[in-house]
Amino acid sequence: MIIDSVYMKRLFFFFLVISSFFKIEAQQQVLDSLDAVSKDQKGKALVLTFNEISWHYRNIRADSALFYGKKALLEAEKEGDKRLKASAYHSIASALQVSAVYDSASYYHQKSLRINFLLGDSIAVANTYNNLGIINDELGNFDTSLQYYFKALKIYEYQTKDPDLVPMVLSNIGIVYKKQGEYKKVLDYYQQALASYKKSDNLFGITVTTGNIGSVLLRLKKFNETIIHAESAIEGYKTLGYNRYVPYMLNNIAVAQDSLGDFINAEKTYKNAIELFSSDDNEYELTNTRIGFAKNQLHFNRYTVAINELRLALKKAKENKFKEFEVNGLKLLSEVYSLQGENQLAYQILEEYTIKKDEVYQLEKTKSILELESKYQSEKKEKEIIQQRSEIDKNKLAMQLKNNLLFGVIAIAFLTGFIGYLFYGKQRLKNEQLQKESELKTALVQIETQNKLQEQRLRISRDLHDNIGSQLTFITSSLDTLKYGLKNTESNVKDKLVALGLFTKTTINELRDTIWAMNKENITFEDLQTRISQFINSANQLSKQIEFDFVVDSDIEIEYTFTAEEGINIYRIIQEGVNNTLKHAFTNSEKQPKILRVYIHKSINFFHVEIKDNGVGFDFLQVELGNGIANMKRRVTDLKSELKIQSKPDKGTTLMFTIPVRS
Amino acid sequence: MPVSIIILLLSFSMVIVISIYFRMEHVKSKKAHKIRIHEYLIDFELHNYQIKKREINLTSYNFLNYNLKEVLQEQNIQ
Repeated sequence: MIIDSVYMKRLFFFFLVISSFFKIEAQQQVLDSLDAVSKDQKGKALVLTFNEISWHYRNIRADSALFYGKKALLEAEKEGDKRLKASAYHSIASALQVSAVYDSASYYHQKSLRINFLLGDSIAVANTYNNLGIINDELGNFDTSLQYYFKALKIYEYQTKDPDLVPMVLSNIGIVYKKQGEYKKVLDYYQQALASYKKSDNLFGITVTTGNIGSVLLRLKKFNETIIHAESAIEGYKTLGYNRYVPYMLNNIAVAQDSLGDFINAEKTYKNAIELFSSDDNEYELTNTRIGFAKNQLHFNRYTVAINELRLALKKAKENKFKEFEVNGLKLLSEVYSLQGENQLAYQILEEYTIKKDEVYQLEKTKSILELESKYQSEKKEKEIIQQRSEIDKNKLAMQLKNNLLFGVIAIAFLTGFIGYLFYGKQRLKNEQLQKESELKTALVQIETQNKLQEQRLRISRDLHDNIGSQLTFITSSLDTLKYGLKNTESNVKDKLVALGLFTKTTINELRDTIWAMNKENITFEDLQTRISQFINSANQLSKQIEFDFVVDSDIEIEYTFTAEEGINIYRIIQEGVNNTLKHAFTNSEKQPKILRVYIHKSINFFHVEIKDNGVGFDFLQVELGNGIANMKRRVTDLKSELKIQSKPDKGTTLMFTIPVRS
Repeated sequence: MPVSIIILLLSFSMVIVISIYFRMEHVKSKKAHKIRIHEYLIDFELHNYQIKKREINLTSYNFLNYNLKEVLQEQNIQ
């Protein structure tokens, strides 16, 4: 019965433990050769060899298994291969598991599980689930254990071609239910496992599972079926050569036969079992079987035999501290003495039994208290972990809130900046547009003013031309007519009329020049030159004894424009200068030829105008300058220049002024 | 969906909406500006045309003046 939990667990966790148990020496040879091979290996091959060595060492020396597991992990980390790391974690976890260091084993299994999960290695994941199921079973966490087993079962059922994995997990589930006393469920899972083994024709699995079913049936008091299953298992073990396990089955058969009242066969079976357990030195099972055999002997009233067997069993139980068997043995021994009528002895043994029972009870109590304590501690730890996790979650939440706030602030700042930029752009565009529009408005106002001004000029010009001009022309014509009509009259009247005619013509000329100047916004140099030429020509016509010379430098751009004011001023200054020369320069002069020269040339920044004659000249100290010179000076000042007069008696006169060139 | 991503998406959608609004405003403003400039230019052209027209008249007065001068010169010669 004890075989079930201990043996099955080993069977399904390591699977090959039993067979390797018989081959320790062979295994040692394998380990030595693996160790030798590992010395020449590197990388992946070395990791796999270390894993293999760790695997082989697990059932021999757990610490060596752990050592090689860690070596495998070191190599795997050097390689940086996740799959190798997972396999190394698995080796370490398995080594720790056999050493019953379940917390650490669980930790490494979880690490391996995470990697295999990410790598999508479902079979490795299922293997780890199975191992975690075993660990939780050992720790008494049956619900968790079952959860892991069912996860493993689900994966194995759909994703593995290995027919032994599904019944292995089914058997493990059965073990968990057995610990909980759910024998019907146990039977169900064992039978499913058996069916699977039969399907794959796995004799070893069939034998072990059949034996286990027999044990469960014994619990369910189905003695006949127990015997059938146990006998079948015995056949299997014998075929496989695993005779060590035959007496377990025999013991079960003996108990069943005894319970069915088949005492004679039970006696034989017990004897057989005792013999086999003795040869295997299996003291534990031997003690148990001896007690069963003693009980059987009572049916034959063989008290002495029973007492001897019980004494032997009690001795071994005391030596090996098999407390449970000691209690059972003492109770039975007390009953035997009582049946023999040795009541005092029976009483003494009963007392001893009571003490031992109390001890066992106390021990169990202590054990259960310890278990409870450990359960409490682990729950406390779990609670602490949960609290820590909750604290971490809280911190995470706070951090997330902070991050969100930061994101929000950044987003708002970005949006504000963006909107600001857009507004700035909009305002800039508006300003540019306003500036352009303002420039256009100013230009429009200017052109409007110019238009109006021009209109005014046109109107005045028209008036001057149409009215005053025509009237002056009429006066001139009338004076000429009158002059010819008064042919023989007084000469002074005639002279007066001629003077009047000349004055009117001058006025017409003046008027014409004024209209000319008024009609123009700008006067080109060419225009001015033509006008001056015309004036000099007309002057030449009037004073033919004077040689006129109008010289203009050829490098002056004829396109250069003066304002109307500048043009009229230049023209008037030259006109006045020429008139003054004609009036005063050659009076009483015998000099021949009489020359009047108007010269215009240009430097970089100025136009230079020179009116020069070779007339009589004058002395500045003796001559008082008239209105004509004053008017010329005023006009020259308007041109932002200065009138220079150079003259000496008999040396002629030179008038000079400049006009600044506009850029 | 993480809040940060939601904030990011919201910001982007707001940026897009605001951009579209400002773009529309920009186009509208440019159109209005173009119309105003066009009106100014028409006025300007009108004045320019009037000035040019008047300049032709003025030139004709100059021409008349020139003729007058010739007449005067002829009279003077006589």
